Formats: sequence, structure tokens, C-alpha cells
Amino acid sequence: MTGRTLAAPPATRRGPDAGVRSAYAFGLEFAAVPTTPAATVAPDAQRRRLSWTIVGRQELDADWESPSRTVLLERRHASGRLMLTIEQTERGYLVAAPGYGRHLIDPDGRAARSYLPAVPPWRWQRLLFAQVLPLAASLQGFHVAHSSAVELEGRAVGFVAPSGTGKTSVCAHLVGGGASFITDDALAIDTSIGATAIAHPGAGVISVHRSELRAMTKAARARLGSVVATPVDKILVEARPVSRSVPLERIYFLRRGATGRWRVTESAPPDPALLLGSSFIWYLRHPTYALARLEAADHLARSARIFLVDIPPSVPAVEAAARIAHHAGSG
Amino acid sequence: MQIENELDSETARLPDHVVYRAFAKETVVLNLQSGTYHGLNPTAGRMLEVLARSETVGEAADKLAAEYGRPRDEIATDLHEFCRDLLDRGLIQLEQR
Repeated sequence: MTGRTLAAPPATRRGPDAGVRSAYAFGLEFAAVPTTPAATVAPDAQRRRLSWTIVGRQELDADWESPSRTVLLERRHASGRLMLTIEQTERGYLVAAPGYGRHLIDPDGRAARSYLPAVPPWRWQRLLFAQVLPLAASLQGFHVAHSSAVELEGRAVGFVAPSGTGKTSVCAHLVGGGASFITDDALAIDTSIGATAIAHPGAGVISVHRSELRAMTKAARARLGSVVATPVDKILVEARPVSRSVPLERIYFLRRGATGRWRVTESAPPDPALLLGSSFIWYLRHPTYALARLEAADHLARSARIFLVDIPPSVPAVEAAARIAHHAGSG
Repeated sequence: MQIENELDSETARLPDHVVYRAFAKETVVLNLQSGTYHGLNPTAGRMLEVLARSETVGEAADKLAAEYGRPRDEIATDLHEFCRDLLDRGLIQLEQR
């Protein structure tokens, strides 16, 4: 494992008044340690505030205790070792991953307190960006889709697919080819402003397969960003997300077929099941969030164009990206 | 037949915990108590819409028969079966008018 420091080692009680900069990710503006990989706040962003405080382990654990807990999500490694838990209590939401940190998010998503372990920053950033900020964004009313996204000609284009299908690879090759990076894996969408859905940039990190990085030219790799760390499974690259929200114009649902041919089909009119099924924060069962997902799907069905892309095994991600760029540019 | 006639005189209402949104080719009904989404094809979606806006199930059958140009008995049979399905899933309430 190699790596370099992206952010200063966390200290306790480092908050908005500790000389930190304002960062913007998933539609949320928050005070972050100086080099947290997220866009700097842009004046035109339709963002909401998150009060983020870093606290000590003991302080967080004291608040963590609760007589009533509901486990919303639990993921384990193949060995049975715990990977991630998300629990709900009367105080909010608890997000924990051994070795990656522990976070307590208020019920309305407007405040979060975090214990960040003394590990290379990319580790705690991974949990923060992959779960904590998307959950807070969802609690604040954004629709968070399981989607990567890029900006092409001033419009956001999202890529929805189950994990392992290639949405990050397609996104990475598009950025390498000149598109602007918006997000990897979780896309915060605001459907409350008007007839157009607004896509917010995510964190400034993209997690790419080694083989996909090798498939890029030197110039494309430089456009994508610089390597932060090389954990076992993927390579973490510090990318530069757009610094403002972008109108969401279309969403491609990617499907990897065992056989077949390349095919792009517009879902017109859009299939609501596709849109409902694309939610990243699906585990929030409260009626408020079930209704919010339905209303977001209703908005996206009217405001965005939805396409289904069948990608046969013979078409690598770099070629899929080129074909999609051509498709998106041809109307 | 007796039961069917009774249904015709009842009012079908969506409970407070049920909402729906009409998409172009599907209506999605959400049961907020269970968090379950139910998909209805356009015909069923239209039936739900007319049911929700009619004083009785019988009145809804009249409107739908006129709209689709089908015999009233045929439409009423389909509508009664649809009502029973919705009732089983807690998506409507029937009230005696």
C-alpha cells in the first residue's frame, strides 16, 4: 500500500471556527480541514449547510449509547468481519466502519459529529464521502442516486448501475477524455428548485480499477487527477469536481450483458421503477423519505432523458465511454 | 351478486397513508405505512383516479364504461376485482355512503 496525505491529521474539536476552509460536496456546504478533497464553495451553488465537528472517540461513544437502536444497514466482509453499520436512534443516525471512523448525524441531516481514527486520511475520507455526506444530503432533502456523473457541454450526465457494472470506469474515461468530473458513486440531485433537476458535485475522489487506469493514455490520466492511494481493490485518484451545481440533462442506466450487442434505448416515457430503484439511500424507511423518492422519480421522469445501455463483454469501458460521449453529443 | 351490488353503492377513498403519482405509462402507488411501492398499468391507474374522484364505485363504473366504450357489466366486474385487490393491500378504504 502506498499513499500520501491529503488532509491534515484530524484533531478533536476541529470545527468551523478552527481556521478551516468551506467545502462543498453533495449539495452541502461544510467546514473541512484545509485539504479535504472537495470543491471550494462557488457563489452560484444551490447548497445547504452542514455543521461538521470532529470530536474524540470517548465523546462520540457517550452519545452513541442509546436504549433503542434500529439497524438500517449492515455489511460484512466475506470472512464475516464487520465492514459497515448504519443505525438509527432517537438522536439520529450512527455510521461506523472499523478502521474508517464513526459518525453521528442529526435526524435532519444538518449537523454531524465525527470521530476520525489516526489512519491515512484517505481511509476516513472514504467513509465520509461514501456514506456520511450522502446520508446527510438525503436527510436534508436531496435525492441521492447510486450514480456517477460528468458534465458534458454544460449539462450533467449521470450513470446509474449496480456496483461492479462499470459506472465509475465509464465516468473516469469520460473525464480522461475531457469531460468535467461531477461525482463517483453517489449523485445528489435537487428537484425542489423548478422544472430542471440540479446535480451537485460529490467529493473530489474517484475510485478506479487498476486495469482502467492502465487503459488510459498519459494525458487522460493527467486530466483525471493524481493517485492518492492504492488500496487492495482499486486506485484512489484525487479528481477535481466542478465547483457549482449543473442542470441534469440525462441519465444512462448501464447493464452488462453476458452476450448480446451494444444497444442504447431511450426509456420514453421513463420507467418509474428504474428511477425509484436508483436511490443510493434506500434504507431510510420513514414515510417522509419514501414519499421524497417517489416525488424525485416523478420530477426526473419529466425533467431528464433516461436511456438504457446494454454493454456486451466485448466492449471495454473506454470504448463504452467514447460511444456514450458520442450519443450524448448527438442529441 | 349481492356483494357486488353492495360494492357499487360504497365509496372508495384513499387513506391518508396512501399517495400516488401518475407517470406516462405507469401509476405508482405508495403505501406510506409499509413503505411499499405498487405499480399500476395505465388502465388500472385510470381506474384508481376515477375511483378516487367518484362518489361511489358504481358511479366510477359508469364513467369508465362511457370512457372506454365497453359494456357497463364488464367494466364493473373488472372494477370490483380491482377494488378487492386494492383493499387487500390497504390502498383504499370502502365507506358506506
